[in-house]
Amino acid sequence: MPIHEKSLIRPENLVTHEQLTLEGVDVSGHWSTFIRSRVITDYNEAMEEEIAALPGGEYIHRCWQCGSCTNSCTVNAVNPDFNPRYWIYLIRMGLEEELLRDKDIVWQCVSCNKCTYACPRDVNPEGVMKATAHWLELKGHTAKKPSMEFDEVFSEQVFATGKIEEGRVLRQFFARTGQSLFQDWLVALVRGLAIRRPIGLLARLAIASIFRPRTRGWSRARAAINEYLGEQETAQRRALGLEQRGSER
Amino acid sequence: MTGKYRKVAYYPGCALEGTGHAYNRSTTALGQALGLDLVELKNWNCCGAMEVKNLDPKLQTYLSARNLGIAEKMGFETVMAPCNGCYHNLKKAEYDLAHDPASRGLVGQLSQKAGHAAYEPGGVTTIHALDWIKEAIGEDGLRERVKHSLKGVKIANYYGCMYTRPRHIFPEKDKGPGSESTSKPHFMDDLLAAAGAECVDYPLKTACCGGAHTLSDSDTSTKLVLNLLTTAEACGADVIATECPTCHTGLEMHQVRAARVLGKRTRVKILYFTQLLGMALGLSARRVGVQENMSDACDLFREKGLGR
Amino acid sequence: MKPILVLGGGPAGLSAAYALAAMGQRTILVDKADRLGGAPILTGYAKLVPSGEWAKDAIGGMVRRVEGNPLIEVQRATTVRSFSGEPGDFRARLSTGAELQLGAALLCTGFTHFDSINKPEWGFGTYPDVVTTAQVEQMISSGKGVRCPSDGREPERVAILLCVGSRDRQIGREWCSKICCTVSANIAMEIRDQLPKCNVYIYYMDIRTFGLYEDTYYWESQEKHKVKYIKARIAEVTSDGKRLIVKGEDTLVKRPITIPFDMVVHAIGMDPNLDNLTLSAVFDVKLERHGHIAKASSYTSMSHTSRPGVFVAGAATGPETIDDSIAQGQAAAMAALASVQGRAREAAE
Repeated sequence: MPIHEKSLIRPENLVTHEQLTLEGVDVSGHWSTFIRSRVITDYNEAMEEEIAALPGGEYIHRCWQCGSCTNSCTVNAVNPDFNPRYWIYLIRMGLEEELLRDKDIVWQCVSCNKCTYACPRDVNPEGVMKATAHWLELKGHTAKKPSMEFDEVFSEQVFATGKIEEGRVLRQFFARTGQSLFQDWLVALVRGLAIRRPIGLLARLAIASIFRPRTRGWSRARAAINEYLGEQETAQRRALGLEQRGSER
Repeated sequence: MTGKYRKVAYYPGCALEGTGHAYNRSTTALGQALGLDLVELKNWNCCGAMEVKNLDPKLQTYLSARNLGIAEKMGFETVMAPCNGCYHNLKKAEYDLAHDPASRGLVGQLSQKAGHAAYEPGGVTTIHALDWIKEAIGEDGLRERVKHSLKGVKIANYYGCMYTRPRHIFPEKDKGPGSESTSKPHFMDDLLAAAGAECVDYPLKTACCGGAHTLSDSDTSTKLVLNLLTTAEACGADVIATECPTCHTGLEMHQVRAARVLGKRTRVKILYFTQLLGMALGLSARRVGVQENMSDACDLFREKGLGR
Repeated sequence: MKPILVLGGGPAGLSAAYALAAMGQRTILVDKADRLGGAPILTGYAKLVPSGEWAKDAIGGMVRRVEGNPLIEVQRATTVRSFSGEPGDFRARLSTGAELQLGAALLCTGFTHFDSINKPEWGFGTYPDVVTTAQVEQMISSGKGVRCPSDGREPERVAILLCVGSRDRQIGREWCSKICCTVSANIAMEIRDQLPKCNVYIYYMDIRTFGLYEDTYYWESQEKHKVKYIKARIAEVTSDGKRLIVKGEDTLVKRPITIPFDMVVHAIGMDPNLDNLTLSAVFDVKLERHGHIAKASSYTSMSHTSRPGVFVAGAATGPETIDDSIAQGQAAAMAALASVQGRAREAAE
């Protein structure tokens, strides 16, 4: 009979039979409670290479599990379940099921680069977090996360015109994530600002939202960037063993 | 005062044309008051902030390389970027172009297709607004020019993430006395102290404000910002001085959000270091754009006799 | 026959000079310090690994037999300014102005201790009770015992952080300094002996007590001296005003740690000698990519540098133990002697 550390018992592994009689003894209900085994039965040997094929993941193989990333991590300080060191281990060993338990928080990395600053092997853990979040979405394990929506709204504007207009980024982001633009705190913010009549600023913002700021002569750069993005997407989908999309960007 | 940086190329970036306009206004006003010329890059493009890098870091390198190329073509050796994001990305592009053949290859390829010369590393040096004032004017120069000392104003200097991390893209930092430190930066402390302010010992100088997820993960950002604000207050600061539009706006927004959503109110004011220095040099509050800040510091100005 | 120059009077140089003299070879031993003994004596090491003998006795004995040897001329507080010529016929000028004619030269120039100031997040230079292994060695060898520098109290809890200035791409130290794990275990046992009430914790990424050091140091420190080993690399060392606070992640239990300590010890690594660029220029020898003096080959000519007639031994070639430095000193002496005598024989024939 294996000894179980209580903190390692997960609710889904606790099994209780409503009605059970063993050798004539009624053990229904909590008398029949047993714990399913935690045995690891296989490794996903493709996982590390797949994540290494995505931007930011290139140096994951360097990790030796010292924990510098986790112990310097901004998000870990707020949420101890956010553990880059542990995830890197899971990815390197191919313990996919374990990683998927945290699939909904990986995207929360704030890119403060404290991990990258501390890492003695130059793993670039911040990049690994981005690659992992990207992998989870590409593989269909998670829906597109708010940060990816934001990155896309922002980047699409940069690629289209060479510049961004913050109001437009804000409006599109709220629209794509189905949120109201009239958040209580945003309204309070704008009201607080308007009281002091920064006429110049308000006029600038209004003009920018009508005449989008743009870099002149950007069309050739835009075409080159879009062509490159298409190639990258094809290469990444191939590396992850995904079907190619019918039409590219 | 040295001749170096008397005239430099100026890369304001997108944020300084929008929510960070007060930083733009105060930086240019400060330059004028100090007799320093800023020549804006012609037809610059967005540096890609953090978002483009999240999709593809090499594209960020291209975007910044294009801007560096413009500075070089305009005949400048130095480009000054006041925004930490822009500054960081220009520095990172310089590093990647010098060390990563793949980045260099892609920049060459995209530049050719876009119809401009590919920037070669080593052509232009990127500096921050802090380097600019520190080198061009220096503490002694500032002391001589101060009209309204910041005496009695207690300041927590907040540098954020992108100004110091990762260290390898800032080869000029951590070079001993006189150079900037990546673990305990002090250039802003030095300048504001020269203008008479009392800089408090602020342990969260390079902590993160959650700016990357200011909208996409607002709850985390609010928690991080609230910690910055309450710690500054616990250190006795009246003001948090900033040197980045993303940090600045994030601090302002989440100060309001913390009050609205969590019911946690904080009193500490948030001002760009250029606004504080400008007012110390005798510029009016309006001239340095405090009406464009979301954090209303008028009562503090009245109390300390600033920006009249 | 012309004398052979041995540069550096640490374990490797002392061993080489004595070996040469024992074979009847005239030798000139030059050291930049004002006394011989190298790092163990100049830094003030306590009990050496693995003999347990005090450094001042063990290395001191090596110094005495060199200083008393009529075939060895010792030049202290002296450096080599220039070096030219061919094997068997070198000329050197010393900082004293002396001109030498030499048959061969041995570089036994050792290393420089890592300066912990380059890792500011771990508190050295900020908090007086953050010290290095070199300082703890001095506390022990001076007989004053291990005490907190801030107020002289006996520490009740000590943390030793391994790999400070080793195995770290961030600061360009991409090597293992080889002996710090064992030295740290040795120091930890010494502290436990001297201060039985003081607990010692060692924070590690890997433990590399290689060869016979495994049971004599690693196991012994755990089993007999109850030194605790925690797999964690420390994020930062701060202070709560009273004690030092060590922060990190205990990776095995996946939990953050914020533990108070009285003293934090950096197990500092071995940097290439700060003089290596100068040595490389003066002697026209190549450095390997980390900045140590490059060896020509590990097999057919293990003591050779890139320049014929110039040999190398000990920590000048990379992190090295005292025992191996001594062995390499003898090997280099053999190689130098073969070079000089071989040439003399050829000339005679």
